[in-house]
Amino acid sequence: MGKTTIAGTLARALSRSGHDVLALDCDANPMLGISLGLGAERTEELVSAREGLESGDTPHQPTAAGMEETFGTDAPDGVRLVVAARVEQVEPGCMCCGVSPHQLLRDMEGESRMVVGDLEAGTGTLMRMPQGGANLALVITQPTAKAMQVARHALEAAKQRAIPAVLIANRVRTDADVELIRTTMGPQVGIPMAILAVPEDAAVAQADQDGLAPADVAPESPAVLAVQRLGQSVSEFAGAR
Amino acid sequence: MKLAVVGEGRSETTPIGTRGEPLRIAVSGKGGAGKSLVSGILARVLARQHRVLVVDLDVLPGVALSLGRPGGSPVVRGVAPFERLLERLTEPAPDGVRLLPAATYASRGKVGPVLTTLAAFAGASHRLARGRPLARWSIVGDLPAGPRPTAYRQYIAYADVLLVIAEPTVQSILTAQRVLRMSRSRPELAVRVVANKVADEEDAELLERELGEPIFATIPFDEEVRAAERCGEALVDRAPDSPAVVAVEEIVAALRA
Repeated sequence: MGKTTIAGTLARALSRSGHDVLALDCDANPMLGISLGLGAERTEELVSAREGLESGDTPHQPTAAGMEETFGTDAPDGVRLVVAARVEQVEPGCMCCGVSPHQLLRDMEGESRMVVGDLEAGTGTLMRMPQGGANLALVITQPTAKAMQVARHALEAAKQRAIPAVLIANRVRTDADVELIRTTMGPQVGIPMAILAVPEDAAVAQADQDGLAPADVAPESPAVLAVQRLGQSVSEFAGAR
Repeated sequence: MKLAVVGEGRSETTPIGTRGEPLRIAVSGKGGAGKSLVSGILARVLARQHRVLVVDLDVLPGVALSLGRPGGSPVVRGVAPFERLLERLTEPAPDGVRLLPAATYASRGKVGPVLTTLAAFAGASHRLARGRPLARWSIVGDLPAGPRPTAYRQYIAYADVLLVIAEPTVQSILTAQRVLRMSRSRPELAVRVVANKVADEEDAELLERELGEPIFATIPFDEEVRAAERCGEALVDRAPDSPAVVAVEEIVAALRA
């Protein structure tokens, strides 16, 4: 649904505007490194370390600091990326197994960084979060029946956890696309919410195809500019809290 | 039927079944690569010849949309206990296809996938592989996105062939590589790479080079797919002659001798 591309671009934008940013890749198929501009090879190295947990080649990291060190790397613009995808054979209580990113954040006592989490597609990670487990949920949808159905469940899950949500209408081509999303989602979700449109963008599609960060190869493209504006809103939201 | 394993067991020319025989397929790939689309069309194409069970192994909605809405499809009339059980557990889809959904979402109150169906299917999958109930049924399993060790261990024991759907993007290629790496833990499972959203010969060559596997079939980029997905209609109903549907028909033919 483009959530990884938006998460990576947003993390870079927030970092460039002066925030310390921790990017958490919580997807079972981790790809945030690609969208951040780390490249395929470095992204795969981190994923191999995660796979090593399952095979026993990588020791478990019971502390947040150990986890950030073992499964993390420095990404462009000063973003720190940590792969925190849930492993399937979980050690109970172990920080690095990625059962909930909230566990990890709770352990980072006095954490002042802005954390951008790229969650599992759908509602999996959200469902494992406690009340107020995140300050803000950005729910990415597209003008397709499937994406809108998923987004509806995600918005509902966020609402149940008292997490404020913003709906991002991604890859929209026309006003009719935004309208389709507004009319399909609005009444059924039944909560007041902002809809932010990110246009379909050939330059971003090309960056995705090449495995490059849109922030690097298409910084002035309409979609990247829209995500930058999203970053400003997130920044203001954080400042107001 | 059992696939004859020769050498590394990855010969792309080894047929999975003979003409007219049921096929047992699992479909994998990156999110958005087209797993549900291919699964739904595969099921409808196979249903022209025999009964088909679709197992939605992904908690995200998907294959139900690409299968289409049911309309007057016949119920399971089998007398075997397994078939009677199946009728209770599954939902009707067009052309007599039965759908076993991984996730059911309560309309109000608790939201979230109900995983009991998946747990039940994990047991059934091994039974299907060994004892071969539903011997005359084709089975299509739509896997969750990406490499999922649990899905491989538990859910797709029934399958004779794994279709890995890949598009010519770096993330999709990385995902296919991860899935192929994981699939090596089951060398008896035949694996076929299907290239989707392919614009030209260069795209297919890129995939073949990066994956180190021959491309078994290609599905061209098809604007009809976007139109169908926008309104949640099954492509096979909306545009039965579209390039993507024709390509899946060719996949079914090519899987067999």
